[in-house]
Amino acid sequence: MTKQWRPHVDLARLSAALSEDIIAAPEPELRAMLADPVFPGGAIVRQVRDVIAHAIGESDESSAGVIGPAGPSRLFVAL
Amino acid sequence: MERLERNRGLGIAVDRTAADAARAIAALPQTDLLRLAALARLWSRGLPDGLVWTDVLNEAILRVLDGSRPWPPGVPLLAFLSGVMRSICDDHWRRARREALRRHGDVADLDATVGDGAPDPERMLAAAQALAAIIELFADDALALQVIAGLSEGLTAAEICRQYTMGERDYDTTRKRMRRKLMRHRLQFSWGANWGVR
Repeated sequence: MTKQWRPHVDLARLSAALSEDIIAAPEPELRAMLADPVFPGGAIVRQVRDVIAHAIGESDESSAGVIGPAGPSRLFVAL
Repeated sequence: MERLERNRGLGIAVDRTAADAARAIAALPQTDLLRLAALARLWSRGLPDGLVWTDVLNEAILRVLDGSRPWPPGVPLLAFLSGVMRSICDDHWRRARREALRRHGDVADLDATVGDGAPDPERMLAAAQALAAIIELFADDALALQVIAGLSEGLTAAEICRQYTMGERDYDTTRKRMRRKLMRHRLQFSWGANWGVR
């Protein structure tokens, strides 16, 4: 009997291993990526900073009652 | 949120508040921001409904800040945020599956179908395409392909080495090579879009 291929399960396992690699990547390796003029490291960092600033700002507004808990940028709904 | 402090032998464990998490997230260095982008792209690739990595990262931070996903003591921030993003993406896949079944009128046993891990054709297709993209990226690296196959099967490092008659040193250098190539590729070539498949 052949086992059914479940690519999403394979990908989930591989992604879990890769996420550990990303978290454990040595600082000098990442600094080298950021310093590489060909690599858009600065733009990526700016984009992440923008997301963080937006989320923290939105969270502040939400706790002040300006935006509700399911405000405009809550694209995900809990099951 | 109330802060709890408990003595545990020599150390003191402190349950972090949302404000602690906000401060820690805002203070992440550039290298960790790069890691965060790579993690967000890793978990969000192929997500349905046009959602991209910035949506997933935004939602993860909001859930931490609104207290629905409190940051547990002793868990490194990036590992925690990675887990939150993974969970958000898994939930979203299940929700999309549920809605697709409802749209097609297959509502007889909706909870059982979505809940029992039954294959989701759209998710399986996205995953197959993502795996194919990874394999293509390492097509000229036989050791990397073996490591990818082993990790996909859920094997440990020792099991991969045994199965493929690979030395520990070869395994370690292959994982490093994979990490460098995947991070660069994912962050660079998926710029402005999801990596792999949409």
